[in-house]
This record gives sequence, structure tokens and C-alpha cells, in this order.
Amino acid sequence: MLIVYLLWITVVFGGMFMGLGSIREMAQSGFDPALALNTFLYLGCALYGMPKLIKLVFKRG
Amino acid sequence: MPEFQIFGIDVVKTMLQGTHALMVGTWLVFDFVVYWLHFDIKNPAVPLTRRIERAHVMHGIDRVVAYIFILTLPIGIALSYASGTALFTTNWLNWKHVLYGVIVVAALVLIPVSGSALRNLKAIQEGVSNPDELNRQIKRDMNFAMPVVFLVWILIIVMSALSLLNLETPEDQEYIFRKTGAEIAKPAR
Repeated sequence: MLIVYLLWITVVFGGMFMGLGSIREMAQSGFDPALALNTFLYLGCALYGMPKLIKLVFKRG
Repeated sequence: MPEFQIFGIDVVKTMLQGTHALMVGTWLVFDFVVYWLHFDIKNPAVPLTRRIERAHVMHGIDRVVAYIFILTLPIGIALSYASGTALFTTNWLNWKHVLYGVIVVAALVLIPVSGSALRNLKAIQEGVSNPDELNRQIKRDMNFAMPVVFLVWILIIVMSALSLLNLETPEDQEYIFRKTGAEIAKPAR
């Protein structure tokens, strides 16, 4: 079960870190295709994983 | 970041680089083993005990790969800080992150399929009424998952090549990762 928690925590928090970091960098230095793709991919994964992580935590509780 | 050096070698950076490289190497080898095992697992002509045995091995490898997948991103981020490579302003690293983002998506695609072969094979062993249907499901899942596994494999190779081509090593070095006098004399960032 630990691995499932770790997996979704990594997807959600890693995705938020990478996605929001890319947005912040674009806000400071302007548009960059790689950063835009990173934002789309990582924030997309974080948003996809968020309800699953919440469900997992509350289901356990 | 404070540096801890032994004989001019930045221990933290070198250990992170080594761990990162070792993890990626293990991931590549394990993905190859999974690909090799899947042929027997999905084949109903192979004896059931052998298929279950191989599915157990595949399941074990999947768990190790999952831990590697979980640790790769934080170790990579720590490495970028330790090596002074800016995380969001280094162009090649941004493109490497794009490729890793595709791997994250691939992992999310593979999660529902993970472990289904072992579950179905155990059900067949217990004597369910619909073994043919379960065998078809195993084959369908494997045929769906293996191209994704192959894609991950290719992406890891491309990412490794990208990292090696952009590896910062001091000129005139005696050994890999050993700092030159010029680099040691450089003012701290």
C-alpha cells in the first residue's frame, strides 16, 4: 500500500512543483515551448492524480 | 549548496550523479526483462506454472521499477541543485523534463494494467469457469502495455544521451568529476 501512496504523492506534488515552476519561469522570462509543454504535462498529471490521492487518503481514514 | 569534498571530488554531487545513473540503468535492464517475460505470460500454450512463475517475476520487477520511478524525479531535482544546473532555465534540461513528463503519462496509463496478468493467471489456476476469456484479457492487456513499455525504454535512452551530451566536466581533468584548480579557484555561486 505504501508504494501506491508514494506513487500518487510523487505524481501530484512532483507535478505541481514542475508545473508551477515552469509557469513562474515563463511569467518572469517569457514564453518557452519546452516550459509550456512541461506545464501542460506535469500540471495535467497533478490534476489527474489529485482526486485519486484524496480518495486514497480518505478511504484509508 | 555547501560542498563536501574528498581529494577534490564533490561527494554529494558525484553520489547523486551515480545514484541517478544507476537507477536509470536498472530501469533500462528491468524494462528489457519485462518485455522478454511477457511473451511467455500471454501465451496460453506455455504451461500454467511457468506463466505464473514469470508473472511473479514481472510483478516483482514492476515494484522495483515503481520505486525507481518515484525516486528519479526528487533525486534529479536534488542533483540539479547540487551541480548548479538551473532547474527551469537550462534549455536541454527543460526538454529532458518534457520527455520525463511523457514517461509520467505512460506510467499513469500502465497503472490499471499492472498486476492484472498475475491476478488472472492465479484465477485460472484456481479453476474459474472462463479461462479462455481471462487468457484473452491477459493477451489484450499485454499487447496494450508493451508498446508503452517500449516507448518508456526509448525515452530513457534519449534522456540518457541528452544528459551525457550536456554533462558538465571540467577541462583538463585527471579523473571524471575531479575538479580542476581553475574551477576550485572560481568564486562560489
